[in-house]
Amino acid sequence: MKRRTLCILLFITALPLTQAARAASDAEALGWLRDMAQAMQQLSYRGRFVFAHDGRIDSLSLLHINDGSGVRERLRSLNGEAREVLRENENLTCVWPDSRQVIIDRFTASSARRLSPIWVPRELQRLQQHYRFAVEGRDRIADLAAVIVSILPNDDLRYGLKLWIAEDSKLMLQSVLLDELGQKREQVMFVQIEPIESGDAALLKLLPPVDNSYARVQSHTGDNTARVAADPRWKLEDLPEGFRLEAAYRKQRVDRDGFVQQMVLSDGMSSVSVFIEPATEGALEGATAMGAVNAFGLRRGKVNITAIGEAPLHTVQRIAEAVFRDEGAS
Amino acid sequence: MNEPQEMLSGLLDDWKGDHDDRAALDRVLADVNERARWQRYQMIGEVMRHELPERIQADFSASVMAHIEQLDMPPATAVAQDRPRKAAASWWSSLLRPAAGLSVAVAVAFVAVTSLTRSPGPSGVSAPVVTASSSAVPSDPRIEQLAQLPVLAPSVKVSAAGSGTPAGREATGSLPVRRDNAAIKRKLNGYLVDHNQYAGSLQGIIPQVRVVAAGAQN
Repeated sequence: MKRRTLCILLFITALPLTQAARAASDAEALGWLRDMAQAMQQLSYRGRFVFAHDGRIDSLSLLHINDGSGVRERLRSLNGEAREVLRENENLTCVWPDSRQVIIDRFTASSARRLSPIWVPRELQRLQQHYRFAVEGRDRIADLAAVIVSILPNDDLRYGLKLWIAEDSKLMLQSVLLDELGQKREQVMFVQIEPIESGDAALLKLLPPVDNSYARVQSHTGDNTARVAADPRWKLEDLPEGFRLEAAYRKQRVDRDGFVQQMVLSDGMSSVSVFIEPATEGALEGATAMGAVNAFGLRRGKVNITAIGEAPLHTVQRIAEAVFRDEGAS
Repeated sequence: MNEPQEMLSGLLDDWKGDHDDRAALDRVLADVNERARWQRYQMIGEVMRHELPERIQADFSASVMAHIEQLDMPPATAVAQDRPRKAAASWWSSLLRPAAGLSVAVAVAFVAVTSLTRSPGPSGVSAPVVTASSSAVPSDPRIEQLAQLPVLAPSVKVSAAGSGTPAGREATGSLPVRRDNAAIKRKLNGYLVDHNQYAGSLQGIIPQVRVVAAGAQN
């Protein structure tokens, strides 16, 4: 009897300690993640990295300048065609020299959340419901000491992530996106990265030569001014656990008449968008994917519903299927 | 106005076409970097106004001069004169206005979706979606199977076995996967662009990396 009582007492005593330990671990990991997101956006740096995806590996160079006048970035492929992406604040130019194609675009900051294109952890309590954060140890990447931070899901409805963060600069040195089965889906690993003075911004000014042999292959205005309020009759039910509606609006399509309604869902880390528009031929019906991005489309009555996002296919599908129309709603 | 782009913006906003304006423009454009920048802005502007031709204008000097001549052209009416100048001023001002943050690239979408499509199966028809509970290998077996299987499944079932997922959820109706369809690609391009306005990259690095990497596959 005494032994049993002792065990219960030990359990009761240990439980808060365990919880406190987890909270401390989460807080430490989140601190690293916030520092990393801030460093990747605010510092100026350049480096070379490999990107493993879809069973292949590509090597790329990156130059990132933040000199107070804005963010400029240059990404360049180091293998195969010298594909290049230049970003200068909201202006983006993509050049494929061999295939003589160019993409030019401009984007409008649409949300305060988009101050950085890199995910920044927020809403700790919400995240903790679906993910476990941990500092897993130390490692060495690109000849730099790194801290390993993991974000692992508690179920198979979302992806996990491991990040190697430089101890000194807080720059991201390696990231591994893990699918719902714990397998690597995509991996980015720097083999060399170094902070630079913003004076190197001159390197970014040179646009790759684009002459009349280039063809425009895609353009999108990124104009969000045409947004109108969402149709409240479109609703969601039986969503995958943890996902909730973050935003909804309608927007006139650039390339055709009519509006498309977008509903953005998130669990605090992973995001999936649902698009609803009048049914047309040539809409996605079924699934497709590239790397970590999955899309699932279906036709329901007179509309096409498409869900797309960095989440497991079955999660994306469930979200697409969660859409219904409530004619009584207003 | 120390920044060259601000000088360009100011010149266009207040373009009078006199000797001073032309001299200032010459000074700005003397720098090859600024010439490139000018060309880039010009193309971006055309995209925004849906005026970009299928072929990019090559003769940089000629295109700049044509633009200037347009600004110099005597107006048919006072209203006709005022409207394009205001429009140009407004566009340049908005173009050069610093904007915090950037959404994910359209190019990501374009290349990504292009590479999303899988080759049809041996029969030349599309492959079906397979179950999510397939055995795992790093390259994603589901997708590999997608590419390999000939299709014939009239309906698709994606089971989502797992701790947090209701099992055996049926997909709606018959869902053959349509591939290599330009209309689907275009549509998904737009969707990805819009989605990326909200979704921060989980990889710790900007999502444009997919553009550059995916290009090699095409």
